[in-house]
Order: sequence, then structure tokens, then C-alpha cells
Amino acid sequence: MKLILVGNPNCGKSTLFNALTGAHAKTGNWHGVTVGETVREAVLCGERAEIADLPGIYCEDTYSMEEEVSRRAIQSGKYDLAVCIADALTLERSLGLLKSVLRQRKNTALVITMCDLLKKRGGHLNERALSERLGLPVLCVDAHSGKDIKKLRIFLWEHMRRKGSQIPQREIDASVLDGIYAAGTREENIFFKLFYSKYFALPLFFAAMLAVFFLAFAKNMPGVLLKDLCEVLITDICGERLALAVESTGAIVAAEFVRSLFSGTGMLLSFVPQIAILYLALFLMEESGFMSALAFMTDGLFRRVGLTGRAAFSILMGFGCSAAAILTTKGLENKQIQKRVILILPYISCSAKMPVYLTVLSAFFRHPFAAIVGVYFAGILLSFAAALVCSKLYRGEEEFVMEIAHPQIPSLRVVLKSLLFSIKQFIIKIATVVSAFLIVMWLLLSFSFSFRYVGVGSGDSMMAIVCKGIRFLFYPMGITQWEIALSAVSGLIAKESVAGMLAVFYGDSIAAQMSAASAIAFVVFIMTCSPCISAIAAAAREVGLRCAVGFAAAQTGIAFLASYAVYGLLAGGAAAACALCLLILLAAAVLFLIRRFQHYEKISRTKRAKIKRFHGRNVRARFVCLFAPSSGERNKSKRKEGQRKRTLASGR
Amino acid sequence: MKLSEMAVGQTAEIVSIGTEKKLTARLQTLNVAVGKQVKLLRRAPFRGGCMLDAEGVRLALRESIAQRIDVVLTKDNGQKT
Repeated sequence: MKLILVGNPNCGKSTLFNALTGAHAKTGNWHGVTVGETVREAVLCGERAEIADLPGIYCEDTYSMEEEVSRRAIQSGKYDLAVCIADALTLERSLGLLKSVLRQRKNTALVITMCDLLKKRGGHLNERALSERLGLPVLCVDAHSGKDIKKLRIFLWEHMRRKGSQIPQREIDASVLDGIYAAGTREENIFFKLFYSKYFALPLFFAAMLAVFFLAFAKNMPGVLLKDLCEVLITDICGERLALAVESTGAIVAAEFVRSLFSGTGMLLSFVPQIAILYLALFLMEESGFMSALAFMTDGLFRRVGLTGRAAFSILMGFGCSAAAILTTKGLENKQIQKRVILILPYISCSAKMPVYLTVLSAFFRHPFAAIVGVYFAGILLSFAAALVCSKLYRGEEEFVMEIAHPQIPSLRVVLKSLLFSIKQFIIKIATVVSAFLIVMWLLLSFSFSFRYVGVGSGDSMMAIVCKGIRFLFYPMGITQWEIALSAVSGLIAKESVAGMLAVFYGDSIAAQMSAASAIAFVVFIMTCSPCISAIAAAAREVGLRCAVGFAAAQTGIAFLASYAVYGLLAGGAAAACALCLLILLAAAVLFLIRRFQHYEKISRTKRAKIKRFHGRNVRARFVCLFAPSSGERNKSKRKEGQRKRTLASGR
Repeated sequence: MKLSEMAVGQTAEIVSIGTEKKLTARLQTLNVAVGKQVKLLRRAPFRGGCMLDAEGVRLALRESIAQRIDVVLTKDNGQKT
């Protein structure tokens, strides 16, 4: 038996899916959270059934990329029951989709969500009358109530085995709802007014971000206190005791191994409280509907760099995990915009980079809070700059239409559930992938090619001999140790392992290993280099392997150059700054000349010279002036000029 | 009059939509179609776009799309002025 959940975006499909199958599909109060099909088994009244959660779709005529997935699933007809899900607040509009699902002439049922909200708004719906009029089974539910989910299970079980199709008894249009449905009055509550206030929304967002960083990274705040507690518990108490116990049996190498492993993984696991605070803020933002407001308020900013407000979703998710954020880019308007967003996402510091920043920066700054905030905001600015450059690389029209989500007080249960799930994921990642990597690394670092134990950090180990070459890449950053170079490169596996490796090599004494200038250059490198392998894989799924690897290589190249420049500036002082400014000016001049040259070349090679010249001029105008008039306005002014000339001519 | 020229709080009826086919179809599912009433609720900062209430659906539209939609102002009771 296979059931599919179809419905308009943000009507609660994934919430119902999670409730029915116990899955952890991503939910949130904005349009386009789900971007791919998820299939999971559920038990309905003792019988097994496969349930597929599909991305939201408005109508058969698909507009964005993720809707295509749903359209194909509906039209394939490979299911036993199509569960059409409609939001009670916009029921009228949802009927259009129901109509196109019924066209498949398959077993169909209608489930209406958010009935509790409808009641709160003073609306009403007669479930039985609607069912009779449509000739379909209809059920009203509130997805957060356990009683309603039980009812839903029985309802689905009853109808999934029915054979044959329903033929609607009458043409489905808005008149079906006459007299049995009222949407209630829609009042803008205080949340809505705050979220969408011109003067309040963006300051609110930045204040919230600062507050989160303060709670997580400032001294004597819960984040730091809990982190220290965890570190002491895992590394000093568990790890050290175990190492001593092993040592007492006489196995010195094994004791050294235990110590290294615990200092590496224990240090990473101690970041759980800080990561939890970050995720909690993200989930609260998603569930409350603030994301939707942010997309609306920032569209004007994003337009200037060739993106749409929808990119705000992906960018905010990028603070959690780059790989997950790259998957959400499917909800963007077109492939061009998707490519641009995937290119800029690595500059948004994901939660895995946070341990690296903290490890390095707290060794050099007495108050790492300010430095961390600086790094995060620098990342945002950098991503905007990258988007501006990318908009020239992948040109394409962008349009922005988005439904606004109803703001609501986030359900604490849902937020905590997602939070626990993502912490679990983090711990699993550290305990499996990162630990395995650290163990292999430890073995390669501690034994020479003749399998003699030489100790971590010795120059005779296998890894040391193999890796001595890469340190030269880091020389211009003022870093001469191959150990640090190796740690930086290991970020490709998972960003956490950079911090893990540093702990394995140096323990707590990183400050002695590099100067402050190299430390900042190192942080810049980590901030801008290519994302980890799982994010590259996610990007490959979206834009193709060649493109994804190309992006990663370009990002790493730029990261090296940027960190060299930063080190040069910090170490060289004023002279270096002047030299860099001169270099940038020179580069800009060369770029300008090349562009001019290309511009003329284009004209000479094409027949429709006029059109092309216009095109070239447009692009350059936008490059120089951020606030160039949009094409509509320009056409209008031209039309006006033409009219003026005409009237002048006729006057003569 | 263009949709982009409306003032906040005004209600209007859509007369024509000059967008490409796919976008027009999308707008129609969001209740922005010829003959529908729309109310301009607010404008976004940084010349972003506008928020509309289209017979129960709240949506955000970019300025470039609003410029291609022609409307006729109506009073709240639906009479054309």
C-alpha cells in the first residue's frame, strides 16, 4: 500500500507525515520547506503502509523546481491513495489542486489541517456536508493533537484499501463551499505587525542574532559555562581516568591513544551546548514564521545582488549546516539563482566551523565573543559580495512571488523535538565519521613506515613524511608547521575535524604555535575555503558533479589568496596595505580594459549590433552603480523622450 | 493605473496582467487574476516590493511584476471609481 501526501506549500504535510511515521522530516512555518520526496513506513491500525511526503505544489502548471517532483509523483499514478491536504484558512484556493489530483481517477481523500486556527479566527466548516458535496471522504484535523492523529490513522486505514476511483458529483469550484464554510476574520496580531514593520524587522533580526551569540559565546553565559563543564567531564575526568587505568596495565601506546582520542572527540562534543543554542534560535525563527517576514523584508537587498528574498531561507539554514542548506536551494526560482546561492553558501559559517573559530580565537583573544561576531558578520558581507560577482557569472532574470506565512507562537514540543534530533545527529557525526577519521589519523601520525611507534608530532611518522609538502601552501600565512596545514586540509572531511586535529596535536597550547596574525589568516582560510565533502555531494546532486567540484576548487583558491592577503596586511602593516591597494587598483584597471575590449569584440561579431551593445552597456552600468534603474523604468524614460521629440517635430 | 503605483491601504480590481505565461499561471493560483480584488497592505524597505491581500491570500510581489499588472481603484464596497 502506498499513500502520497499532496497539498499546497505550508499546509502541514510534513508535520502530518512526522506524526504518522515518527520521522524527523524538516518542518517550518514558511513556504517551500520540503524540497524532495521522503518515503517512510507507517503502521495504520496494525497494517503497514508506505507514506510519501511530497513538496508543496500549487497547481499542475509547475513554476519552481521542487514542484516538479510532486507533479511527477501525482501523474505517475503509482499509489493506492492520494491524501490531498488543505489548509483550512485558504481552503478555497486548495480546491484547484484537489481537482487536478481527481483527474488521475485514483482513490483520493481530503484532509483539512489547521482547524484549530480556523476556530480561533471565528470561522467554521461543516465536514460532513463538504464530504457529501464533493463525494469524497473528508477529515478535519489539528496536526499537533494526539487524538486527531489517532482519528487520522483510522481514517486513512479505512480508505486506503478501497478500490476504484471517485468521480466527483459536481464540478468543483468555489460554490462547493457556499454556506458550509467561513474563513473567519483575519486580524494582524502583534507578531505580524512587529515582523513586518519597516523599522523593526531587520533590527529585530540583528538584535536576535547578537543575543544568541552573546548567550553562546560571551564569558559567564550559559553557552561557555556548559561547554567548560562538558570539557572537564569528558576529557579530564573520563578520558584521563581511562588513560591512567590503561597505563597501569603497562600499555603505554594504548594509553596515549585513549588520551588523544578523548582530547579530540571530547573537545568537539563539549561544543554541544553552544550548537544547541544556535539551533534553538534557528528553529524558533523557522516555526514562528519570522523567516517568511525576513524574506519579504530583505528582497530589496537581495535584488541588488541578483538574488531573491527566498535566498534568505537558504542563507539562514546555512548557519546550521551547509549541506542541508544546499538542499533547500531547490525551492528557489530557477537554476541560475540556485547556482549563485550554492556558490555563496560556504561563506555563511556553518555550526561545524564554530568549534574551529572558538579553538583558535579563544587562544588569542581575551574576549572571543567580539571576534566570533566579527567572523560571522564578515561571512555574511562576503557572501553578499560573492553574490554580486556571481550575478555576472550566471546571468538570468529573477522574479519574486511568495505567499506570506501566518505568524504563530512556535510549538515548544516541535522545536524541542527538532533540536534534540539535530543534537543527536551532531553527536552521531562526531562519534562515527569524525572519530574514525581521527583514529586513522592518529595511527598514521604515531607510527613510522616500519610500524615503529614514534609518537604524535614526530617528524618520522607516515603522515608527516607524506604531508610535509602541503605546508608550503601555508607559508605565506606565516604558518610553517605541517601539523596545522594538515588540520586545515582535513576540514574537507568535516569541518569539526580541523578543531579535533588541532587538539590531538597541541592540546590547549595553540597560542604558542602561531602568531596572532597567522591565527587570523587561518580563521579567514577556514571561513572561505570549500565546504566539507557532504556539502559538495549535496551541491553535486543539485548542479552536477563538475560544477560542484569546480565551485569547491575556486573557493579554496580564493581562500588561499584571501588569507595570504590578510596575513600580509596584519604582519606587514602600512606598507603592505599600500601595496595591496595599488594591486587592487591595477587589477580593476586591467579588468575594466578587458571588459571594454570584450564589449567591442561582441559588437563586431554580431549582426544585431545595436541590441548587443545595449546589453553590454546595461551590464556595465549595473556593475558600476548599484542603484541603476530597472529595465522597466529605463524603457519608460526612453518612451517619454521619444514622445517629447515627436511632439517637438509635429509642432514644427 | 499600475499595481506598483497604488498607495498602501488602497483596494483595486485587476484589469490585465502582462507577465509571461508561467508566472501568470502562478499568480492565478495565488488569487491574482483578472477581475480579482487586491489590497495593498504594505511595502518592503529598500525598494523591495509590496505585500498584497488577494481575496484571502497574502503574498509578496516584486516591484518588477507589480509594474506589469494594471488595476482600477475601487472603494471597499467593490464599486469602481
